[in-house]
Amino acid sequence: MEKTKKKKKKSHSSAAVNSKLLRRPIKRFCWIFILPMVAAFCVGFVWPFCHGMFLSFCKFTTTSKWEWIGFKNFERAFNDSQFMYSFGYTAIWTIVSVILINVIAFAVAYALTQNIKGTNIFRTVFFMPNLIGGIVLGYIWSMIFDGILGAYGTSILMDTKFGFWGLIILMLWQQVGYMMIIYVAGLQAVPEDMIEAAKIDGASSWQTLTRITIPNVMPSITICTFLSLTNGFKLFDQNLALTGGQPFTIDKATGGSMHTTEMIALNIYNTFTESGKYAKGTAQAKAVLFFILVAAIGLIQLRATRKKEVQQ
Amino acid sequence: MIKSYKLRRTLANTAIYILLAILGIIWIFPLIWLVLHSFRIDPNGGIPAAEYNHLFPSLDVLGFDNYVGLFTETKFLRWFGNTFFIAVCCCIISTISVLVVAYAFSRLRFKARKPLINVGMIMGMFPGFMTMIALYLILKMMGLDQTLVGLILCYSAGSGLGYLVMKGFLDTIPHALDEAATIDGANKFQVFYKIILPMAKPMIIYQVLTSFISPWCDFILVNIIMRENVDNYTVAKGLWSWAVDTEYRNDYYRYFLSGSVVVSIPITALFLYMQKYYVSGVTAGGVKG
Repeated sequence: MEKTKKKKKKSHSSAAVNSKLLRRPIKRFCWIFILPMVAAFCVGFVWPFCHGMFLSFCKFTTTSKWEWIGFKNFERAFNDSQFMYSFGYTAIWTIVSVILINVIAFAVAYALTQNIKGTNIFRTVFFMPNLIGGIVLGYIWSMIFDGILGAYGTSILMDTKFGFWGLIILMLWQQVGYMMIIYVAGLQAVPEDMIEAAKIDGASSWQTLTRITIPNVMPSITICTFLSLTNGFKLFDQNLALTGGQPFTIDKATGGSMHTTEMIALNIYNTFTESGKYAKGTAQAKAVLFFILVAAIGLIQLRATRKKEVQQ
Repeated sequence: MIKSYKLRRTLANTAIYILLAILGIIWIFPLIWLVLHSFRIDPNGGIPAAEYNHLFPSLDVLGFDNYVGLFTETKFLRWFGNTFFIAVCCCIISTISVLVVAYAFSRLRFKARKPLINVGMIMGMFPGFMTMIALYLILKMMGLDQTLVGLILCYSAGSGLGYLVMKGFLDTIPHALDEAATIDGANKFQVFYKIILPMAKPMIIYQVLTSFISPWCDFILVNIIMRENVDNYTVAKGLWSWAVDTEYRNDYYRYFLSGSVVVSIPITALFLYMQKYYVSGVTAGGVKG
């Protein structure tokens, strides 16, 4: 009996999972595996998600008192100069941080894979900041920056530039270690003989790096760019704790106050806590726009860099 | 141009060491700063001033008062317990749900598989605060607002979406093993329990670690759900209230730093102990995407 089964398997080995032998029990059990997640998922995730989408088209102060107003919330979001400013600020900040994080993380990873001693210690040191919560981190760094800038009679809350670069430094400190670990794994997977062959053919070490190593670690670059990009757009805790949007200036066009280091997530959060009767609906609309943006960027970027990967 | 290969090699290595050492010092500096300042007290026995503009405290303002007071005079222990409880619950629930989702996507073939994988990926990108108003009101409707159970539900509900790394890992376990076990008479659960689970051990530990760490770091959800219920705060929210709320700031500010140090001790210890698995998890996720 068993022998015949084995023979049957061998002949179908490529489509093994789809063979009748495995398929029937799999089909029967499939829902048991998915069920516990589906239940919690619906209450804690899908329901709020759909409800949130729906509320972005409503004027509301509590969810029981809503009134359908169509796209007015979205109009209001687009006409909000602070929102558009925060969007631009976040975009610039994210581009700078993605480039710096990936370049530094790659450089550190490259240095760590050059057969040196003490790799483990360095790896642990660089990774450590990932273990502390963003809100505490942001606050600690704001105190460090104030300690340094205090010597020059200024503070991080005084200048938009300080806030911008301060947040960049904070995120570099936090994320380089994580990205570095991914790059180290990618670099270690580059086949040794390829590099040797290149050297024999007379390639300089720069040529080896750009022509052999980097194309081979393209999957790691994809995932790291993707991670740091979405992290940048989603950034909230550190932004709130480090500057909280300060310094504030007066917007000449509207006369309202502008939060010059407020990123998009913090802007949405602040809109939620405003008191006006349209505020919550507008915030919800902003949040939906934001979600569409983050998802779109993630997907486009993933597709674009996947093409460059070397097939091994 | 330096001719000798050996000399060139040594020079390059020294340069690398110097670079790494400088970076390492920069990286460790804030941690040292944090520990040093957490010991800062007022030498006259009063409350140390919140504003302190020196980069490093001098020796005469160091002492253990902040740590003693942290455990005897504040709600810190209670918050610590809350966070620990939440972290353990989340850890169990999310590990199980990630495992079963990843297993289903990796091993089972059903009609909606591809669309579900894609939908899951997009939903995983979505920022937590988009739903916060709706989430709070739903919890309120169910009578779960300002409770630990509500918070656990929020943390673990979406956790199944983190299946990507685990699925990537399960895909690398040869199907031949499943088949061999099936031929030997194992049913589907036995295959999962006896073959997949032991094979996926590093990834499971990674999953446990990440889901254990996240409640210690999260701020925004606690902030929304717990509101004024001080007894049910987690450490992140509690520490934040000490640093920022004008009500607490003057009296409790000094405990903020010592609290941060105490919070990071268990996590760091856990990480150092299980570093090997954690790193393999990060890399598996990175390589697979």
